[in-house]
Amino acid sequence: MAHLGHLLTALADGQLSPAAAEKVLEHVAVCRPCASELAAERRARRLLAEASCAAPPPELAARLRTIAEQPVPAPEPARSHWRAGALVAAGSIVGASALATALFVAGSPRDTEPALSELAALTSLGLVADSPRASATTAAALVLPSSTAAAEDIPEGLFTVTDERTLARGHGAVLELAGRGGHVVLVTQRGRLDAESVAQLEPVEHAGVPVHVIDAEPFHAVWQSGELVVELVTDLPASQVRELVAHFPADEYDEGPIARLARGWSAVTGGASR
Amino acid sequence: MTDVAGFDAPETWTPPSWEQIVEEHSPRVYRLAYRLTGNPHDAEDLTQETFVRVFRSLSSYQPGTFEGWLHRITTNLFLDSVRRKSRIRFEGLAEDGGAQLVTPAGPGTPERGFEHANLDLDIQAALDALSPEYRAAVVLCDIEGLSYEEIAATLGIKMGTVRSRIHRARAQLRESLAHRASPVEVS
Repeated sequence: MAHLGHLLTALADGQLSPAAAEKVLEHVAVCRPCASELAAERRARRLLAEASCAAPPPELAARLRTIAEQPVPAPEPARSHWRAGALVAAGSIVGASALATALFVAGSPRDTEPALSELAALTSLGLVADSPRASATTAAALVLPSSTAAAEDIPEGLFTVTDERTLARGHGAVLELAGRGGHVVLVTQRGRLDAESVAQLEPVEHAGVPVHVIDAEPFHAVWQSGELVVELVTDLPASQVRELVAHFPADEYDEGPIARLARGWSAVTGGASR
Repeated sequence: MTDVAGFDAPETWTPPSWEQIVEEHSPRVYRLAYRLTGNPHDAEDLTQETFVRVFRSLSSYQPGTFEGWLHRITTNLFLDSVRRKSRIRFEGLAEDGGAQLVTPAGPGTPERGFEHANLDLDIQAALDALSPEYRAAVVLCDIEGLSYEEIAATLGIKMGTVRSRIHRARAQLRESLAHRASPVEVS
């Protein structure tokens, strides 16, 4: 058995002070198990350091460049130090994007991670920016990539679009809205909810379609709308939430998802603030 | 722990263009994302999320260690998402709308072979077997070359925690990668 535990790890990593390193090395010099342990640590470290990694796909950089073409962000509230900014930025993955990347599947069934906890939903809402960044019209265009008519259906002034973006690979969209009653984070993605896994969530029937409520306060739910999976987080008052969900299109097989989403949007944005 | 001195910030510092930032940093962020998530799709998503955050916060960014900032965002986005892991599953739909039950494409299957062609599969598998917290610490240490102090700052944990996480992670990795061990290297 080696005697020095994580000191050997730290030594291999070059993370001991000179004095400490010297002491450890003195021991290693006369202790075969520790010498062997140290060698193994260094070998493992080298394996990782030298391992080759897949190169980014060529189209990734192009997609990242387009981030700058999206609406210019309003200046963040004064943050004296970049570190604070970074922490907030990091935390806000909980925002729609966490839900989004979590729920999206590239093609094979797998575990996904929507923000299930109340804390996550709260954090998500807390981080929805208050400053408008884009018009409702652009948001509509984003959510409804092939429908321009629907954009006019979204009444301006009821909700302000505070963030909008497509998910990587363009298979879904995230929309964050701020209104008088509260905030809404909506993620829509092509895909199919695995019935078995949502069976454990309390379903609320809505026009024959189960809306799976992950959390009641703030309201956080996920449901299938045709080919789309819709995930919603909002801190709107309960009465408005009910109305909002009720207005969202449930499932109509005779129409494409785009049309349904379009009508859903006009209902949501109109209905929620009545 | 204060900012790690990466490069000096002379008076004449001018912000790089977004193109430069993407060009310069995206391969590195992608690599880190790949090591953390263990697959190209999640790595792309994580990379994109990271850059979205970076872009939004650029106005409040002060000259300092850009790389440290990127490490912090990428790693925390990753940990945040895994902490919210749930049992909800999806099946992707084919573009034509038809239900498509895709065969899970593990690292060993042919369609993934191309992406993994130049990747040390056993090493990624060993990393995947670690808990996300251990994985993050050891990836930042061994692959990104951060000091324990930098890792502590990146992950917002104590030095002692960094030490023990890396120690335990390394022990697990050594076990997983025992087949790679060279015979004897002890004097």
